[in-house]
Amino acid sequence: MTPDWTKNLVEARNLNIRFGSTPVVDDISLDLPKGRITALVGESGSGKSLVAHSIAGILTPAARLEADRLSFAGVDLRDTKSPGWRDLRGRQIAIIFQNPRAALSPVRRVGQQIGDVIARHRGLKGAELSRAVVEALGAVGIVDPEARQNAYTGELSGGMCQRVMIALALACNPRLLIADEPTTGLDNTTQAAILDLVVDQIRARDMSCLLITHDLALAREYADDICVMHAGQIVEKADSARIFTASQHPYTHALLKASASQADSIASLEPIKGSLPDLNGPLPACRFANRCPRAEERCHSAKPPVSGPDTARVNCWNPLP
Amino acid sequence: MTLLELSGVTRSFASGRKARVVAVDDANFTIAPGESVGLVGESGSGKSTLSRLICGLTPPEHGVIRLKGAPVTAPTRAVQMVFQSADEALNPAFTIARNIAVGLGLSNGSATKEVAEVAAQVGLSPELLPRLPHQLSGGQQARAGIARALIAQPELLLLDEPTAALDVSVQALVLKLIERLRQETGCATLLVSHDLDVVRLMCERVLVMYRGRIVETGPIEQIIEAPKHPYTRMLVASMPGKAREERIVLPSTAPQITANACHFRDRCPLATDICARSRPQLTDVSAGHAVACHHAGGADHPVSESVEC
Repeated sequence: MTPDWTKNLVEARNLNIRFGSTPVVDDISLDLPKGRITALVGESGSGKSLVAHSIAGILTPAARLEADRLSFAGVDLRDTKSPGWRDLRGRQIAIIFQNPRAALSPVRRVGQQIGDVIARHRGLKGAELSRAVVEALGAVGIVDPEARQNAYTGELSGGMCQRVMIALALACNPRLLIADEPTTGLDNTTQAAILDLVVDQIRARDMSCLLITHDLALAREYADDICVMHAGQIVEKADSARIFTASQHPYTHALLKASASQADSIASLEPIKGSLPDLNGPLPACRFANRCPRAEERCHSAKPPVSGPDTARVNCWNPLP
Repeated sequence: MTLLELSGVTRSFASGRKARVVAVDDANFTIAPGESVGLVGESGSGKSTLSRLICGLTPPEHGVIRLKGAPVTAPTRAVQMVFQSADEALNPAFTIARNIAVGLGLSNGSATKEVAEVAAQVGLSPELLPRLPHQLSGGQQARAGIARALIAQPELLLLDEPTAALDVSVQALVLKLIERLRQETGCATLLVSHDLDVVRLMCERVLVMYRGRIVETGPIEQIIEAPKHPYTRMLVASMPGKAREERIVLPSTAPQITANACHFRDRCPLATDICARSRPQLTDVSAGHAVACHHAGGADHPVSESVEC
């Protein structure tokens, strides 16, 4: 099936991911529209990376994926053996990870690693290929790319490694960039520089981006839309300003109250009650029900309904007004 | 009255055959009893070496560290440290109770009364005490790390990125716990963090370090609202939500460290000749607010678009 670029880039409907009998991602539906940056925000264990991996087709074999639909530009992503799937991945869907040093090879020069991707997907050779490599490194703000292409990752700082990773991801002009906690572990000044760069490149190339982060303040600054996950469920999706000014789901509200970046004083910081539910045990229909101050009887027994327009959607029986 | 006083404290380490890296370069500051101070700076700025010096884990080459007037030469009970990753800082073969007792210098599991008291104080329930560290959640491990430091009844608690590895809601719990313990015990805190939002909530005063030197110190509101040093401005502008135009990220490819110069000059938009010739000293700009920069009083800093890190 050939890609249809007029549609949403990614459409996921009723996506479930299980490890054995443990339902780690529960029935989520998510669209990634063209030309927008969507942040997937949640605490560790919320399943946000698994969702990203399922779109990139790099889910661990131990995971069982079921979905009514999981498509990229109309192409079914569930069947990883289908022809053309490998061309989509790498060429049209690129991913950058939290720890670039671990994702790059330590024994090959960074220029060679970028060259591999360009040769595989764009079929360039010789002088043309070298030129493309230098261009790719230059585009991510690496000074003196001619010389730096010969470096090994061990010779580069963490921020520089992440730039190389971004150069590699963008080398084939993909339509979608998945950034999985791209700046965790980097200094704040470097974090700002890297994310500014990613966003500039995405806007300049008219790409879409799925930004995975646990940091609401980062999501607000860099994303157009924010999707909040809790324990494998999407609880709320809205444009990013709205999440901060008019959050509807009690979990989003609690997360904001617990964030150091949103608090005026230590006294106003409010930890969320309880802890993430044990996904192996019996789970309430809304997985936040046991921690929720607004929970009712039906939150435990029946799946919360989805309400609201596309710009402010909430999965809750009893949303905040 | 001062609790801790550093004067001219310097520490360097060998790097390669001939070179030496000056990790802490002529640090001078004091901490008052019960005060909450933050220490910020990027990785490699010398924050950890400074913490180790204050703890007595590393001796200074030059200068003196005094605790209530007496020089610190070895680890003392009065200064305790809470380490960054609680799971790695607890002995995996010891029960939680025994790990906490280590803070008293005991590893044989005695002092059960003190352990029970301090566990209650940090909110660790008694049934967790016989367990091993890996059986606890991240937040519980963080509490155990704090309990181990607290059992020695310190007068200064050093906290090295205590919440960096924790989720938002657990971070909120631990920060509130530290604040409550500070109120209850009257113990001073030095919080090492790269998260200015955490420092903003937790500290009255902040020290900014850059490549071994303290470049600015002052009340937290002044540092966040009106930073004077170009490096502090860059740090503040990197906080999410700050205007992008104010971010200054300049080449840092070949750091030029010269004793008699400003270490920040190769990244600094304000740098002039004098910065390469003379080392700026910490100078008061207002009460309690000092900055080490030749141009801190100058006009608006220019903006640069160059990026590399």
